[in-house]
Amino acid sequence: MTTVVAADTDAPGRRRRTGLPPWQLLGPTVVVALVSLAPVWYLIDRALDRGWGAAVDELAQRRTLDLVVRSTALAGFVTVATVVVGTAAAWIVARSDLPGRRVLRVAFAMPLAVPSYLAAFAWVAWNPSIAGFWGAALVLVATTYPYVYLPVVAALGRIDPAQEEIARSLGWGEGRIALGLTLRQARPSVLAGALLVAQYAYMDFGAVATMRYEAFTWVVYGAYRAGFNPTRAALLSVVLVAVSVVLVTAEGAARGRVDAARVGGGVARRGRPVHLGRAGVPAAVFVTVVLGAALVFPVFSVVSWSLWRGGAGVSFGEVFSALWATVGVAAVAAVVTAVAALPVGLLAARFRSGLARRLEQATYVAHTLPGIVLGISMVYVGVRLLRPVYQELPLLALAYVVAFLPLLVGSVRAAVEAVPERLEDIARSLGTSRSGAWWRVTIPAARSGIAAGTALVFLATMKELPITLLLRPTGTETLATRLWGHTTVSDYAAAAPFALTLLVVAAVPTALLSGLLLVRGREDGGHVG
Amino acid sequence: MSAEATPDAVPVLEVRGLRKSFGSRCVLDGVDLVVPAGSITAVLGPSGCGKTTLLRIVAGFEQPDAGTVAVRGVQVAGGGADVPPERRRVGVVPQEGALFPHLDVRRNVGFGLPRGAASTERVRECLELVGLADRADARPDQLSGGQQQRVALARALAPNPSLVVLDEPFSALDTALRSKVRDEVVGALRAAGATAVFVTHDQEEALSTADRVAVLLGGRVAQCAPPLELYRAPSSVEVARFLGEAVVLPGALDRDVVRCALGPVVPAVVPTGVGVDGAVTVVVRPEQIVPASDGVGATAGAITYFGHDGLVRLRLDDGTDVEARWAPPLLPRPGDRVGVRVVGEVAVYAGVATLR
Repeated sequence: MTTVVAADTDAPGRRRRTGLPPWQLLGPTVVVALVSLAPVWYLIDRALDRGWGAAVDELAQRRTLDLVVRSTALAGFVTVATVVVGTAAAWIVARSDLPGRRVLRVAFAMPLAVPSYLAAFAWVAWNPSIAGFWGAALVLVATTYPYVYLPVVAALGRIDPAQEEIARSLGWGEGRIALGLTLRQARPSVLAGALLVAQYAYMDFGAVATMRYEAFTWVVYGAYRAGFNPTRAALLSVVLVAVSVVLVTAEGAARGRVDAARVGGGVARRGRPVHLGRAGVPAAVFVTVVLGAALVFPVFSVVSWSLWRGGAGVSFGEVFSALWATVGVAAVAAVVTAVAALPVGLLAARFRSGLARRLEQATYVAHTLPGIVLGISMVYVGVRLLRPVYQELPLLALAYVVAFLPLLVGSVRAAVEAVPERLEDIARSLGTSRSGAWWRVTIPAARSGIAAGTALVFLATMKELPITLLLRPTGTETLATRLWGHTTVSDYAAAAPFALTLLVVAAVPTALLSGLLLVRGREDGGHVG
Repeated sequence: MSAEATPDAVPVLEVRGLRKSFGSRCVLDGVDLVVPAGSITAVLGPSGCGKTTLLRIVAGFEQPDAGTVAVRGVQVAGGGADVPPERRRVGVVPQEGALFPHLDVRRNVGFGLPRGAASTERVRECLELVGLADRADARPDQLSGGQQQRVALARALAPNPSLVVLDEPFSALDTALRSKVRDEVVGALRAAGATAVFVTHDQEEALSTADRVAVLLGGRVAQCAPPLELYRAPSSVEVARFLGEAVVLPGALDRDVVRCALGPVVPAVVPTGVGVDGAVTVVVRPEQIVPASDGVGATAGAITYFGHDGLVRLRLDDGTDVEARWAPPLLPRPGDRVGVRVVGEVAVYAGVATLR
């Protein structure tokens, strides 16, 4: 008799791939998608307000080309350097026998917790002559190499150690294995990480502004702040967004290849680490230099300034009110973003029609908008459409929603996808309507993932700089804007308490949580940020 | 409950001409099924034959391409009707239970009930029915697989559904546990007087558990009958083969007796439509072929030993190969000469089936 214990291979659930989603989901999702697209629309509108001819004339100047060259040189250098640093760090942690690897595994990811403007500030304070290309490059490499390091560590962990054993049995040495076999297989992950870094290098505002390196974001900010040429600010923003779109698209494709390259599930067993021998000395030097520059130096600087004046002259009232403003704004932003992300994430997880996919993609548009550009776009939106709330909390919150929606939509989607659709079917057979099943079953069952995503948005908002700088309500000072204000006048001692508070309450928890989500998201095959 | 509430004349479930394709793959090709009130019906079919799809259409999770479904005489699918799952009163017990992970046992069972004292009482009643009244505060991940399955049943029964459908409810359990949980679930269904349909690919499970078994082959119900009748007189050679090991032989009908390589055998039902040559196909179960010194001569071949019995390959003197299932003391050694005959009635079909 047949006693094969196997699931029936009928294909239930295909029904949901097509068909129009119900209005309860579709309505809010369309609204959220339109809100996400509005800044881009107004940016383009502004860029072209003097016509195509004027736009072309404005862009076709020598200084525009110089700007492209400067930004690309910085992004290119940073990308190459992070690939080397991130990959080497990953190999040491995942495959070598260097002592203390368990601690190093976490320590190498921690520079994610250092906001680029804070790191830049620390270096400039130590030696003002470092400002410029090399200063900006140093800061960007130090703060972004974890984007290469994290996926490569994960990729190396997935490689079957049997492969290395086979290679040895075929006469390959350790060095040849490391370069020719192990790291070669991590190539898709390296590529995906490198593209992410390139995008960050183009988009970052804090490091280039503090280092006074005339890259896109700083020039855009200058053109906007000076106020005499808003069209140029908008036009340069559009160029920057175009570069960003290319990099995001390439990164998405590369990440798709990472997933495809993963055959079989789970990690079978851990391979025997490679014995470093005399190579242990340069490895130890490498670890010391990287962690020293990326982690120890900025943290040590911030702490030492605080001690320098022995706390004298520090207004704890100011620090507390800045912290309070930061937390308040971030809490509003996180809750509103979560409310906006719920219908989009549900729709993305449960419906796979073309319409559903396009609406989800629309909410990811902020992925391609540098913070400074998004801030300027939201100023236009505020001036044109929402004048009553311009320079008020609602507009700032709206900007944060657009900026951090991708983070939360990804979390909601992954969390909902982990809840079997079968549970909704059962709920309906027990007399609950479809939307009732979402409220009573899907969302409660996915709550921990949704909560983690909301917390991440809360923390990321607290350390955000450029949007806050442009859109904060008049008179409101957050930790980041206070820090920025003191930095621009080189008052390190006054900035120190804000920097320290920011590190403690926002940056470190963000790094821990995003590391956690990144690892889990990759295991689930979900999308994170 | 449901058994008393419905007059016998109106079946609880009536499925007519149901068709469903996924892309180019036709899964259900004209399924007819009638389930009388108070009965437990098994839908038996090989893996991937569309059993689960049938249940999902009955529950309202899928729409049929053609055909109709009526619950207690009310059309719920097909022919312009599309009653959503929440208004069908069809309880569902899926594979592996699928309890709501964020709710305890009590809230799982009470999910389909309105809030109130009556519901609290009903939850207690249903948990008692499945013997889990003491686990009301447990979370799903604290229960064993069998307990989860019983909670899933209590949850489906709580709102007093017209019909309960169970999708391979025991296949996720290991063999030792399976028959125990099966007995408990069937006991609870009978105690509740519920009408139930469950799908399975396990012949033994279907035959031993259900009042009626519907065999789903090639997207249609090939036969729907009580287990004994089904096993004794399968409607076709395909059904007979699917229900268990079968020795299929050509034979010739001679009045009430069929002559075949195993000697004269008695048909359970005399087939109609037999040609003038009397050509028929005979299906004999291996356990019907017994040793008999005065029977047909045969030589023993390879023997597969199972412990409680063994399967012996026999080459009859006319060259036909058959398999017989004998108790260990009766088993010959390979090469031994034996005599065999057929006990009991056998299934006989008009025409010559393709032999395997």
